[in-house]
Amino acid sequence: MRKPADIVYGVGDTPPAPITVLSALQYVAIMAVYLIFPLIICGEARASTADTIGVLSLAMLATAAATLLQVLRLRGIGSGYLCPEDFSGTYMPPSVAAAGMGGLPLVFGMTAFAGLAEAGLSRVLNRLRPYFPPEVAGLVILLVGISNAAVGVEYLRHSAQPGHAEGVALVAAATLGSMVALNIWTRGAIRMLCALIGIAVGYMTAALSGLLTAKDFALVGSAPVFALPRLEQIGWAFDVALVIPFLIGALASTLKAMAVLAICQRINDADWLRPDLENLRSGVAADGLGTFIAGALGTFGVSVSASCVGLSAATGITSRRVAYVIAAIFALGAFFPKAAAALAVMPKPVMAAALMFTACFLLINGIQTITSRMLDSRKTFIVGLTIIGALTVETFPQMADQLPEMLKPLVGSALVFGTVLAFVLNLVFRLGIRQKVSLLFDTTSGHVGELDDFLDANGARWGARRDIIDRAKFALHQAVEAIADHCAAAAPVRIEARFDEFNLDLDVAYRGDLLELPEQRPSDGEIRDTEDGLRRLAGFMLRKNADRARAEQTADTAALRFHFDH
Amino acid sequence: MEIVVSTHEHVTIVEPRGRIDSTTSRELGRWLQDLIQEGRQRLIIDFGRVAYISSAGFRVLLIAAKDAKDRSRGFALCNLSQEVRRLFEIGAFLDLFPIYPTREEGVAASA
Repeated sequence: MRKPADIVYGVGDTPPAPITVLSALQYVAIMAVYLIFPLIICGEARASTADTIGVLSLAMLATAAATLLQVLRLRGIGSGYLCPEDFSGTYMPPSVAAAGMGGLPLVFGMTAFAGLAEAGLSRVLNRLRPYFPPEVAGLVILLVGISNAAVGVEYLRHSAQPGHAEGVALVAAATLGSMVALNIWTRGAIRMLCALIGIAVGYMTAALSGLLTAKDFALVGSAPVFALPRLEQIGWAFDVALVIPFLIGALASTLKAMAVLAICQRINDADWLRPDLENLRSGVAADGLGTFIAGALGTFGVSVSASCVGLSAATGITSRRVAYVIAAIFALGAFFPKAAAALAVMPKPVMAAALMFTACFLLINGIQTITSRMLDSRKTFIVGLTIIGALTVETFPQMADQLPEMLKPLVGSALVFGTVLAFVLNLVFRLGIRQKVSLLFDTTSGHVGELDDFLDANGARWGARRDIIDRAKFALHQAVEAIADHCAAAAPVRIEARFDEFNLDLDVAYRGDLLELPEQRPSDGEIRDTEDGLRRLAGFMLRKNADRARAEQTADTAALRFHFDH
Repeated sequence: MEIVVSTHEHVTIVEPRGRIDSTTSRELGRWLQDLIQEGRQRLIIDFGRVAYISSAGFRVLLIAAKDAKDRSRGFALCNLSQEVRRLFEIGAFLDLFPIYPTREEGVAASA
């Protein structure tokens, strides 16, 4: 694994202790924003203040445990990446439903069930893969970015009450502006800590503008320095009616984990070509077990933090050691209510700015993942209709009121609806895709553009990688040229292409002399001065261009066979 | 294939546009041979508009490079796209010619 140029401290690196700690604090500040989800669920369940504080403390413990599970790589569990686990919008809709139906115990019990379901899904990821190609995985990331940004905008809207609108705008602008400016125009430690500095600027601006009130300071001041987490609110319940909504949450969390962990792989490896399935399987297993632990501990479902991966991309720090410190901070934070209180009073405009900052990197990563493969009309509609559907759900949430109770969780969030829609569209549009195609090409009258069209059209249909299709194009162009010039070919050339997610195979069959594919390059003199040298150069380049190549002769038919690892 | 020839600071820039294959490489070969025999001291081939080069194209480059060397002329290449550079690499041609990232750098080095 080769570290990319824009990564300052990679996965296995040990940053200086101050950088590790400050970087971890930065992640904690971002992740703390998502503690809002357990708070919202407690509100929906009408939990008491004491129970809410108990849930919040245990939420920090769950975050610590899940983050450690993800980074440690223990017996097939965990990806080994700096990919912290925090609270996720993927479980919001079913959890809100559970809170209303059965209070906190039902939320906790169903969350534990969803975690086990996700851990089970991790074992069959290879079977899921054909149904969740890169464009769907990229869509999930894009939708997470949109959802995060939408939550941020909603926070701004709600906090901009009459008399406070200017202060809210000032705090949000100061926070987001600081983060963006430091990220663009600075280097080194300051750039790495741009989010933390921006949040600090946000707090100061909020204090000066009156958004942080005496009541907030009093809450932090009165919180005990040390206390054991409250356990009285813990209980577990199960309801069959919520199985499907929580399974959809588990599926969405699985897809999100696959997409986010693939980004972790990509940003840490300059030579990354495709997701490492074994690593994804371990990462999804950790994600699922983290949610199970969260439910068992008496809190809300966790998932890989796409915002934190966005932060990694922004700062260039992906060291595992940061994950250990993050886990330690959250574990300690569970016993320090004062720290929890300080995070709990984070002004909403500061949260909004942090969400929007990290959402930018998620949006771009989602787009890059979607466009990493060739797109045809099928994929255009999968991507376009999913985005339209998700934005509709986000913009007009009241549409859910028209649906039967059972289906409401499906449209409860843009992310869940978009994930399900993308899955269904991909399933439907797979109809009619042929994995084996052929072409007859006349070497005397045919135009080489036909070869490009043949590969471009089928490559897009298959969702193939562009670089592999480019190599296949060279194989066909050079093969056809060499056959025409050196093999006394008497009839059209028959080209056959076969594709699956891992292989592209090209067969070029013709009547004529066999074109050898030598292992050794002819010398410069042989190439310049002899036809045999030129013919062997063509064969040599064809062999080197493919991952495997062979030439076969049967009776009067010769065949060149090229294999490309996809 | 179109071939555009220009001169800058006593460097002759040859810019083939399109594909260099067994059909079009003959024309490129004739151009290069004529320019070298004409007495042009420094030649640089700009690949900025070349999408594809086959074994026949490489042969023409080898012939022209030897011709230039025999007559003590400068011969270099510039502006290879990622794909064309990959073809040079698989044919083991990268080390056989001076290759510059841009036309400007190639002209400056050749002048």
